[in-house]
Amino acid sequence: MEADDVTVFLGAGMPAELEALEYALGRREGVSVLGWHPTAGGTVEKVAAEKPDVALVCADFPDRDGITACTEIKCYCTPTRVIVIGPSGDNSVLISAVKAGADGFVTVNDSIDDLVAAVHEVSRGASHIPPMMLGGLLRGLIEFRREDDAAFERFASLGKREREVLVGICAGLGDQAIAARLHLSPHTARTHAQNILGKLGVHSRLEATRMVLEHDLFARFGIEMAGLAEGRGGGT
Amino acid sequence: MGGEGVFEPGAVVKSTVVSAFDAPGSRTTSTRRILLAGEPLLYLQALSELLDSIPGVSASLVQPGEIGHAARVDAPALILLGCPPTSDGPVELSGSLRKSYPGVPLVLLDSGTARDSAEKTASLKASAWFSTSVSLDELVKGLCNPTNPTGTRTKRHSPRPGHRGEWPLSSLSERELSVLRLVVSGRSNNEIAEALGISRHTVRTHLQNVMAKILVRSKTELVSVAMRSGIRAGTSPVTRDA
Repeated sequence: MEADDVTVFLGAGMPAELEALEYALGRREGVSVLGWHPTAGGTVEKVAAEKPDVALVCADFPDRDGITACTEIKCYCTPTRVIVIGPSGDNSVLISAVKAGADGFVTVNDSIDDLVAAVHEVSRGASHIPPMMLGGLLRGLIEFRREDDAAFERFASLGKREREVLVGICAGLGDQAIAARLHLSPHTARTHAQNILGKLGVHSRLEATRMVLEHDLFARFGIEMAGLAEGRGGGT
Repeated sequence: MGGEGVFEPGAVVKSTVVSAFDAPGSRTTSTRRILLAGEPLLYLQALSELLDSIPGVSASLVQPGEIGHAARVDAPALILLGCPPTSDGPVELSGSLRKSYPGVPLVLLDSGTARDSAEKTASLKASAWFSTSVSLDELVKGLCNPTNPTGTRTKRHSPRPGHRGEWPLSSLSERELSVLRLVVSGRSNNEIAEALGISRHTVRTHLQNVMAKILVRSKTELVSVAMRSGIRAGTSPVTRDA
């Protein structure tokens, strides 16, 4: 390993693919691969311990949790830059990656040399997004921002009691359980629930839950999420 | 370098390939060619470079357009076709590969999430299929004896890699995850049924099983747990590009 090589850790992918990438990257000038790990959790641990310049995580299938790894690496190992390897032609993964703080995105149909170029770029502090996907990314982010603002405003219109009831709804509690927790009559809880759906502009409790979680509304309004875990009975 | 989970691919793989190719009766003097085609390019290119580095093996990656022109003078010993479940491109490719290289064993390499690999193998009359969830060493061992990839098949039933033990959704099947993703994206059971081409009763059964597996009692709770476990809303990975 040369002293000024960019150090790389590979993660959250299929063993055979990661191993092959390790070899292919390792023979390129200026890149040193520190290792790889197939799981997201293992990758985050290794990255935290070895502090590579760049972490490459796979998210080319929905259940490869490279996005999760990306979020955690950006949270716990801030100096490490992250590149997500994702599908081409599916903007949703790219958008999730950018939201998770990824510094670069490379598609599985790019070449190894594209990947190496991306590694060098992000290690210098630049971002790397495939130009063909940039338009879709921007449109997606603007759309999300619009929804986000709308969700924020709607949530802001809820009263204090309504917000408390909404915490119960998001924990999957029924009217009875919410009522018992908040010392209300089940009818009152139900009325609150109806009003909440109306104010949020959604048709079901499920949609309401999705909206709250997707836009992280509780945290943004300083509402304790602990109630959520507590309400989830039986899960260990 | 070193540490658990970090492997050195070179040494083990190379010795395996060389010994397998040098089995009694094989012509030790000539170079064995492996042709790689299909998707995803990034991983196939990496794999091709690794295989090519093995003494006595020459591997190259061909683009779809090059197949007809690729030198027929030197037929490969084996064709490795990358076949991700989200793309039908490689399926079409297999036709032209067969035509250009009659009699050469065709081995499918899929990214390890498709359950229909065996079916696909049969329909393409391929010799075998491999999942990339195996280690490279196992993969290469299998490649040297592509008519008998039993190691790969049994391997697929072991717990899938890629998830932490505590990930609450690790017990879900791929189909259940597809259904769950659609639920998270806000689709109704009927819409999910339509998107996946299954009956709404099947959707309901999947959801009941999912809820039993991760110990939630309502769909709302399900979405709540799923989103906090990092499930992203989306279309089905299997049907999206079909």
